[in-house]
Amino acid sequence: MVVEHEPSRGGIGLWSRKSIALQVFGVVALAALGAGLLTYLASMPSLRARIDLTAVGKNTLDETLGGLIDALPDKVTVDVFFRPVDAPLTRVGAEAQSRMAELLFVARNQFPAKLRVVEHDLSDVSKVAIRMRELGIEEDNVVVLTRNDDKVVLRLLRDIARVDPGNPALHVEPSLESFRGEEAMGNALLRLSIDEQPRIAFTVGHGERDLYDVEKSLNLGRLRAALVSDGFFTDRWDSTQTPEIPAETRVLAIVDPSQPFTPGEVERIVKFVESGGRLLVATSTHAAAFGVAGSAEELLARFGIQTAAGFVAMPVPDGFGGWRTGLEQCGTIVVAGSNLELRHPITESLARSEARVGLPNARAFAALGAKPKNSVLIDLLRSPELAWRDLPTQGGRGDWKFDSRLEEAGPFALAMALAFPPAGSELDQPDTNAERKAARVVALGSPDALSNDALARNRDFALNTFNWLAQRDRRLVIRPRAFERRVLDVRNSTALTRLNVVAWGVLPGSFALLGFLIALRRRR
Amino acid sequence: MSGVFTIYRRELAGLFLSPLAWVLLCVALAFNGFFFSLFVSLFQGDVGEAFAFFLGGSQTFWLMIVLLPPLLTMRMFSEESRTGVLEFLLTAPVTDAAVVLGKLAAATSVMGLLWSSVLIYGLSAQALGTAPDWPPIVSGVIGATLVSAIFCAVGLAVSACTNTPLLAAFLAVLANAALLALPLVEQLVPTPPGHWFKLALGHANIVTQFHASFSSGVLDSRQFVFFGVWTGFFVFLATRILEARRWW
Repeated sequence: MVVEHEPSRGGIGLWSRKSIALQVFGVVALAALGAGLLTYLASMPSLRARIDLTAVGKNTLDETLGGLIDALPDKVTVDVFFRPVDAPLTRVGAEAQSRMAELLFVARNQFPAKLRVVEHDLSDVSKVAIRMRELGIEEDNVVVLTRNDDKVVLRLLRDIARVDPGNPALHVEPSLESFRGEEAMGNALLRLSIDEQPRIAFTVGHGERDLYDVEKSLNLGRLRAALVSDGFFTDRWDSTQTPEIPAETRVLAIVDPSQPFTPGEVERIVKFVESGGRLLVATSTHAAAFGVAGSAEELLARFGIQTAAGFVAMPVPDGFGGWRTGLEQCGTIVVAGSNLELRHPITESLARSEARVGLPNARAFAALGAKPKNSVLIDLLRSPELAWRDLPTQGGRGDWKFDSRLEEAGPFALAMALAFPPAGSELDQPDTNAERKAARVVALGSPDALSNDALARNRDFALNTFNWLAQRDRRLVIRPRAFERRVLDVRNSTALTRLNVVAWGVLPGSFALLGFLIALRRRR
Repeated sequence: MSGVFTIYRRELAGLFLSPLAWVLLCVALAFNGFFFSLFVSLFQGDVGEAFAFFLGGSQTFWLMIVLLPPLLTMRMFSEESRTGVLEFLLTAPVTDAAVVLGKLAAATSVMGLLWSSVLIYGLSAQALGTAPDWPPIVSGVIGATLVSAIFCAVGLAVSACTNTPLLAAFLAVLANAALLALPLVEQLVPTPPGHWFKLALGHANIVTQFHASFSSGVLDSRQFVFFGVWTGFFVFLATRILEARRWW
């Protein structure tokens, strides 16, 4: 057999050349692998050295926030859903978004192993909708931090930035009052880093609202879903089956009972609270159950909170600049602005973000003489001054008309928060290290405010309330990263013109001249 | 490696004695100047933002990075190979690596000169009464030069593959664009979060690496290693290609 060999080139045969090519390829592939490995090793935190050269250290996180991220047990995912904010807050919103994006960039860059930041493109509607559904959020301009099944939602113009709305009449544009992205992120990470799932027990057996039904407008299914999504474990306490309140219960919730509690149950609830337990009481809307022995109102009275009879009502606008009464809508109080208590963690963020809380069929509260020792009682929600307390007529319901002879005029406290040291506490002060065990009670005049129908509006208030009760309102104070602007006056001076002359006149021109002179000299 | 400096001087002289470098510098500086002024105007005089945007934040920066190095390196091997000068160079008492490194240093120096024009903008702003934050600008210039070094190394590797300078420039532009677009592969091949492929592409993202460090005013060993290692890889590739030419 005759084998024809390809003629060799330069004395080297085909196979030799193929072999050399293979060797070169192999060596280059190995070099690429080596380069990849070195790059990977260089990104390991223990092998990194980093210097922030900026004058104000804008690329370095505050030590507290940095330490918090560094100590995270697992990676936290940060989903960013930003889109332009509606006028007139568009410019302020963009500034807040830009600073938050910068903060996340610095955080991710400083701690790549601890944070995964996903900036969603909201123009990709279907993809974003899937992720938003997964996270259980319905609004944009939020940053969602998730770790395992726990999540915290930060709203742009509420938690992340505070806005001065300006004054359109005086042509004062809205401005960024303060950027609190670091603090919001720090508090969110603090909450995510603590592995706990506080248990909330809702009482059953006294005609309370159903905890699992999401269909009927007055039930609590949506509240439960929101609580679970916020990292709580919800349960029911049926005293006929388990006489004692389960030991691991962090918060006991009583929502609109239509039948009284037995004296034994009342004593157990009072003992639970006095020993540092947390209680939410949303008073009864049932006229027959109001104020009787063993009622929710009597229970609140044990803690110095008196519930007044009737429902708070207020006139509704008639569309012609006047007010109307006698309508069912008068029974829904909308609390906003200065009627939200700015000094309490439950309502502070709502007050700052100009949120509203809607309270249908709300009862009024007042402080009673006998309060627990060293207690602090604060009005959370107050009705407008126009409101009055509508007393029931013979039919059992009010007529939604103000009768100045019989009925009291507003304002009224519609929700109250009470905190006091537990009985027998050695540290007998409300704001001490013993606060971890401090008893907390929230009285809410309107159980309907927590219902399926109202939850969309009152979700933040409801979650803030349960978070405060469960003592998940830990606050970090983090110094915002320094923000510095060095601005050239381009409007009122010739600075920009002179910069233009240098940047695209003098500089390229001098290089052109230099090149021309060299070319000329070489020609000679 | 003693030959590196000799080659460097020779290449630098070759570049600056030919009109190519001057024309490129002049056009690029006019382009840069126009965009810098535009950014200052866009950011309403905020020079810090304008510098950050100019050095890595804008697409014009990356356009320059993709286009200029191939134009500088296109002739470095292909022209010499076409005219037969390369044969003399490769038989000279210098190693192939020294030849490649010398040429890379020369091309990178031109790019460094281009980026250091930013310092003149900074001085102008200072003269006009607004002193910029200098360290981030200096780190930006250093970073831009390091990024340019990677793309110059790619250009050299491509130039070593062909005898036609224009073809070398064209292929190098394609290669540079592909290198920049590498992270986009992630969108074509959906992978779950944390997948090694996604992580590898994340590590190979030149734009992010640049933004995370030099462009923001940070000197980070991670990015020094990244840019150094990948420049080294393409230098190695160019050297191997050059060496393979002897046997081909």
